[in-house]
Amino acid sequence: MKNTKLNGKDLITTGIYTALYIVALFVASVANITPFTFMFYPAVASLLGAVFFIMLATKVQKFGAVIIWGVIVGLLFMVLGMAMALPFIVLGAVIAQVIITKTGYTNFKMTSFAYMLVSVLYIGGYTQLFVTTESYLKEALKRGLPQEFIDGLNGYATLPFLLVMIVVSAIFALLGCLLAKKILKKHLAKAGIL
Amino acid sequence: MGHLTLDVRTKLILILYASVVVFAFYSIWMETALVVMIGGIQLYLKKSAGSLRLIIIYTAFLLVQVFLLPELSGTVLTMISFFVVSARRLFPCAMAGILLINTTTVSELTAGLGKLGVPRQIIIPLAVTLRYIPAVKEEFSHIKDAAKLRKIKIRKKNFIKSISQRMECYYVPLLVSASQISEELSASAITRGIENPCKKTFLYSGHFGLADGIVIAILIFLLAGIIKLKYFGGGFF
Repeated sequence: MKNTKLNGKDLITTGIYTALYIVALFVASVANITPFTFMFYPAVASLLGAVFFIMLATKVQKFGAVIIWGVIVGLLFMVLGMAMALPFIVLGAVIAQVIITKTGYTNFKMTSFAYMLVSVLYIGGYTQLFVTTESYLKEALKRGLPQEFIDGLNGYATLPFLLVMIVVSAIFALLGCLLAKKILKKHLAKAGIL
Repeated sequence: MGHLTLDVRTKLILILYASVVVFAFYSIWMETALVVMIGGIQLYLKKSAGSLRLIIIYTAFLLVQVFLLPELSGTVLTMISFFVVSARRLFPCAMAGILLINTTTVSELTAGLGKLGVPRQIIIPLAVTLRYIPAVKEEFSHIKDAAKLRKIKIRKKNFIKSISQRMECYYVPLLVSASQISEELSASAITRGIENPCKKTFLYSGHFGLADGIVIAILIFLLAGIIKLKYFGGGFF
């Protein structure tokens, strides 16, 4: 493709897949109910959102679409009170965009690898919990969260658990990508949409 | 006074304020004040039953937290309180967001963001995203009904398989309609000159008015009060 700048159509397509991804994030927020599943929110979110990311990456084959996606999703997280996640998501989106562009957009393996990277970087939103555990929990207590919930969170704010989170997120993202591949192959490639 | 409207930038400031200041300097008074203020603006700008309902829900959450939570214990406490507390925490942001979405047209939004110097590559996808999310929700409920009709549900037997089947049922119609809508929308947008590189002019060029000044003054007042309370003590609130 000679024209490498994003035109109006690309921008609109990006917006639509971003909207779908955001809805997937809302659905995944069911996970926030207990402290244990709260820690795996990024994993669940990346499992549900994978299809839309893959569609976006393969549909808009130009540099910048994934970055715009990252900025909008990051802004959403900021509005929902996880401002820490914004720089991480934008960073992840830029890296993912470079990987996807370098490998020519249609390389499924590298696209899923890029998506795994973004999903793992989501955990950056929990920085406050891991780095400044004490003050974060104190503030959560002040907000009115019950002691048991805080204790639960405190038990999970350790380095081994961080590693577990990273591994689980990566695995869930990969699963999401595999499911996406299956669905796209079975339904959309045949219908000529992809 | 019927034409007293808020500038888009003031609404954006409200969102930013609700998401940053409330989390940085948390106080229950502050939160309640913000919710009341945003709810009042919503009621004033657009007489909708929705915002009244939101205020009532917020009040209910507040009452539950103050009176009911100290009485409970155990798992019930964990479940209810996490739901109540974390949902209530999101109220100022969510209400500011609803205010922005319900009372501004897309053209006003793009004009306001353009004035702030946001590049068009961000504005267009953002506007599309904000407009498309309600459509997705509608689609979602249609799919849910259709799945119920065909008796597709998650079973204990073959749990993994039934979940992946369920996901497939949601994804495929969403993706098909998304690709169709993106084609149609871009065709109509290109016809209207979205790719014209010249500088755009706007029908509604927003400007700050009296109402904006009042709202921002109240916000600064609240921030000052909260900082005073936090760092110098004293019975301000």
